[in-house]
Amino acid sequence: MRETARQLLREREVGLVIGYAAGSEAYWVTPAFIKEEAQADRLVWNPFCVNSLAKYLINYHHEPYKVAVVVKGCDSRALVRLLQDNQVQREKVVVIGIPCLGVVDAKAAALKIAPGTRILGASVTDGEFLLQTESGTLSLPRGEALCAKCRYCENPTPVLADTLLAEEVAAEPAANIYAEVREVESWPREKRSAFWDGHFQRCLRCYACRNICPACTCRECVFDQTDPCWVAKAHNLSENTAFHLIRAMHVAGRCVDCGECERACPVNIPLRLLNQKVIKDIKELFGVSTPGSRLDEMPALGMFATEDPDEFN
Amino acid sequence: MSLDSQWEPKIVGFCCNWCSYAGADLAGLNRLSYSPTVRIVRVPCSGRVNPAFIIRAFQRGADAVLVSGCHPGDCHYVSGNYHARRRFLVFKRLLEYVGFEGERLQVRWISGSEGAKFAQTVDELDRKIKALGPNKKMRQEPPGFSGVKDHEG
Amino acid sequence: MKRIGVFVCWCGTNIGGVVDVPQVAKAASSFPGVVLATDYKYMCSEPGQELIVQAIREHRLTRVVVAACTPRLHENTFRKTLERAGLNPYLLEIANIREQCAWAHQKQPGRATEKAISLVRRAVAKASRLEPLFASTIPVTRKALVIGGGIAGMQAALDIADAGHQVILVEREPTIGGKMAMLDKTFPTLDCSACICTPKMVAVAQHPSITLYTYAEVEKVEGYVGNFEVTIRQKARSVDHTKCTGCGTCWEKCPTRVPSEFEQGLGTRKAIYVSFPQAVPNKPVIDRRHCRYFAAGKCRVCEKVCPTGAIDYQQGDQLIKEKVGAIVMATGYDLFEWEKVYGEYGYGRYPNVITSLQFERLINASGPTGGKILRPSDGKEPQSVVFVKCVGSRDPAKGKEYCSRICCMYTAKHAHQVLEKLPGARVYVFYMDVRTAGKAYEEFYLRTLQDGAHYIRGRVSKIYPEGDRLIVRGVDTLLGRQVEVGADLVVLATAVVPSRGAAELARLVGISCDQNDFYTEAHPKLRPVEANTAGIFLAGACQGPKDIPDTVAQASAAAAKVCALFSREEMAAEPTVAQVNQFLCYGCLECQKVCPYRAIEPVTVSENAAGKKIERTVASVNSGLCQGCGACTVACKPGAINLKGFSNEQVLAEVDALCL
Repeated sequence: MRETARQLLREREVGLVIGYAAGSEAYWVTPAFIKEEAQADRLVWNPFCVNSLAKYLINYHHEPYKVAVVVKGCDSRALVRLLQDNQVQREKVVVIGIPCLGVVDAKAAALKIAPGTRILGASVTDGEFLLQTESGTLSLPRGEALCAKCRYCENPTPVLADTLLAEEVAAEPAANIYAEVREVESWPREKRSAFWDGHFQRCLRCYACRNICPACTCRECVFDQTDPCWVAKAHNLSENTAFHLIRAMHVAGRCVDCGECERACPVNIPLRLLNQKVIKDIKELFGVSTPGSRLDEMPALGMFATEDPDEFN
Repeated sequence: MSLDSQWEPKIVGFCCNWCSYAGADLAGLNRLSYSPTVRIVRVPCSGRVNPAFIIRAFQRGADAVLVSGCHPGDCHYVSGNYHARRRFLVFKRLLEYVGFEGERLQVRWISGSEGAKFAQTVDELDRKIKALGPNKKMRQEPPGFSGVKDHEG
Repeated sequence: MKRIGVFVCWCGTNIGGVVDVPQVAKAASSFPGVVLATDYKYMCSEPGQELIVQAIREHRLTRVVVAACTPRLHENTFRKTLERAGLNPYLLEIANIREQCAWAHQKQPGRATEKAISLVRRAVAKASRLEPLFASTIPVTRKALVIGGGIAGMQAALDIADAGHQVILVEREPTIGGKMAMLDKTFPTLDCSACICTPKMVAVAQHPSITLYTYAEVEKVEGYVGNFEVTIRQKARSVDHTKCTGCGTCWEKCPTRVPSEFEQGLGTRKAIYVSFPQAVPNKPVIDRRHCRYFAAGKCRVCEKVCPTGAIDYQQGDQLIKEKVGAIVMATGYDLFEWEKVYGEYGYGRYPNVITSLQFERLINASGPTGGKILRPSDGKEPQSVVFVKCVGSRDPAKGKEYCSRICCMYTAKHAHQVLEKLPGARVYVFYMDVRTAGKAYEEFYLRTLQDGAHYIRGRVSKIYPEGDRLIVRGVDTLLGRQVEVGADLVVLATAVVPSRGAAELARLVGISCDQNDFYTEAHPKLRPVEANTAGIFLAGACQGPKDIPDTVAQASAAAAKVCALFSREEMAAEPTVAQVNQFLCYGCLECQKVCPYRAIEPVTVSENAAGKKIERTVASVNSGLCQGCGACTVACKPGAINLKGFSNEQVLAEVDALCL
């Protein structure tokens, strides 16, 4: 990765490389914005590179230079989202794709890794993440440490890349990706209602989910507008629910299931469980793919087929 | 309104100007009697109905929402109801998922000649909602402000 | 502060007999912004309207709510009332307390009154959010483009031109005339098709207001109603028509013979040719695909014999740009390619199985046999002719689900013609139903039966050769048995399908097609000759199978619509259209995808951002094309695109008011 970055910068192919750098703790990485060849050594790739970097591209939309960005499979869907929404120009992006074997949930890793530990190297086997540290090799069992969104991965290999930094990883046969959604669907209504009320009740309306979302690139979000006032600013269950439902509908057919909203949520609202419901329904109803997995397949709610199912007669 | 035996549901209807609003007019013209609980907002097309409008209705105390447009293939604007169909298939499922009773959002294709279907749809919805009782989900307490805001100064 | 006046109508006893009108007015007087609430027996009457006019002036009303009958009835009436009082007509909102209240809830007057109050509250809430709207005007270029030079296109062009407007007629074949020019006689009158068609062709060519482009195709259409810019490709004819006199020496001497399209493959033409003797223009083109010079670089016979030096092998395609205000689609039909799917009829391998259009050429006095019915295989007169209807029509399994409408009648005509020309010949018609809806059509069919045609109700399952004849095997469903008929000639009434390339042309022009690629009308009942894109009209079989009278009628109707559009220099556009707030728009263009009218286009705006000048793409609505459906408003996440007259603010205020 460093070599690719160096080369891109050296040959003035790009003016900026967006990648990952080590964070303040071993299990955190931070976005790195590398403009000079010499800084490329800061770049890292390890199983803690969970965050998606694609959305940073929109900050450079008006820059004269090209930008290279490091994407995993799930992040590449976010990039497709941004391309389809005209928020990023394809010819101004160099996509460095990393076929990915899954990333580690930082919260799970924090329990296992002593503060101040430095990661020297990492590898992934079938059953565990192996981390080389100064005090030897540390093993995180895959079952415990794997990020929830990686449990069923539709695109281990980026759907879009100019260079791939490793061998392609084949997608596992489509397992029951939406098992958790189906579980919630199977509950009695009262239980579903109480479950979501309980979560929405706790929402702080900090909008972190929105801010990190690759499908949310509005210049002024409806939730920030006052006239019309779509949703009041008051912090209560009614307004919070309205916020989450409107948001779910705004990203319906556009949410790429990157899971970033859920990761960013400070109060652990299971937002993927909400958005995955819509993804699942849209796929089942209209026979489309997971949004973002195909550049030529536009958002499902922006089109229609006369033979769509009809329940409204 | 108090929630005693006198309780009557509040139903907000969104009717497209060309088919369903005309269907509702026809029901009246033919003196078909139906429940007075439904109150209609006229929209040009079912494709104009933003799910956010429905959310707002529930917030403000509606017990049910009826969205009605031309039959697929008959849209005055060619394709508005096809877009509406996709949108509401998804939205209705989402509402049920977070714990709404699905009956509270009713989407129906009603043509300008289907006055009887309009009356029947309203009565059926009214019956269902009376059985369910008032909607509490997402409802604001206390009921919100009028929403009327003056801009002329 | 808005000053709203509420006017509650009794409508005699229609409303007043159920709803407590004074109570509604009283309740309305307390709604926010209402400065006057009153009632009157008949608001729509002259005194009623005068009352509103006076009240607007006296109370300086800025918004008006009328609680009365459905807005579908009197919205326009009351808008004019507001205008009379000097108020913008769009500052009116109607509460429908008759159809949707008094009449529907006659048995519950108390509840009806309560609902009426609620409906008025909604109307007041919306009224307080109404803004004045102004109908914009669009300049209209009073020149029409007609695409297709068959009978539909010719009729439309002549009607528009006769009304005094310029017309451009584009035909992709070397001659106008279309399918009608190929026909022998027309049902049910049996008048000669050429006799009524060729004068039209000449009239088109000679009309001072019609510019004719034959051997040309529409390549690009930009713009919108009243203001289209069309690019036409004039294909290279390789003959300079300004020099050519149409003397015919070239095609006499041309050594290359190829099957003639006009003769449906039953005759031949040369590589330099006019399609038929009455072709308009009556000057040849070189078919470069078959010309020896173009294929092999040698020959140039036509050049040598041409007395005027009109042959121009170097001629290239020419692109012509024209500005027009309206477009008439008249692209006609083709026949379903039965050879591709009907294996049981021989996949086109048997020369004596022909289509109805081939039969038209066979029986035509100017056709390849001089009007003698001779079977293609050996030129013998057939003694037994079998007609098979619905080949590809009403056959969802192999062809099209729809009825092609014209086949029953022309088959009856063909049967009649065989019996007339070949006394003693036997004629069989296999049919599913006989559909003869049309003036004097049933009578014609009955005459054919009396002439002696044998109609057999059932489908044909197989056609196969036996000796030099064909055996047609089918079922007679009325007798419930298999039948086999020996035939010297079999004529298939193949389905009518849109002419080749119709769907691509639709995309290029910006109109929609149905599942069979016939052009979709704006409304199946009320706007049958308009396409769903403003300024584009439909004529003839491109919209659906049609016979000649219906085609001509639709063409004239389309022409009337064009003339109505051209009746003014500017057309008024409905002001209830979508509008983009460019600040909010982030350029995702989801709105463009849901717009059925192609009314939304991206535009680039420049602005300063963080001290830098940047360019940004935003959506822009062409108010001439927008019809105000509002689909875009829901596709727009930030609410950057809004619909005037049904804005987000207004609908939310209405919802709020209804829920109180």
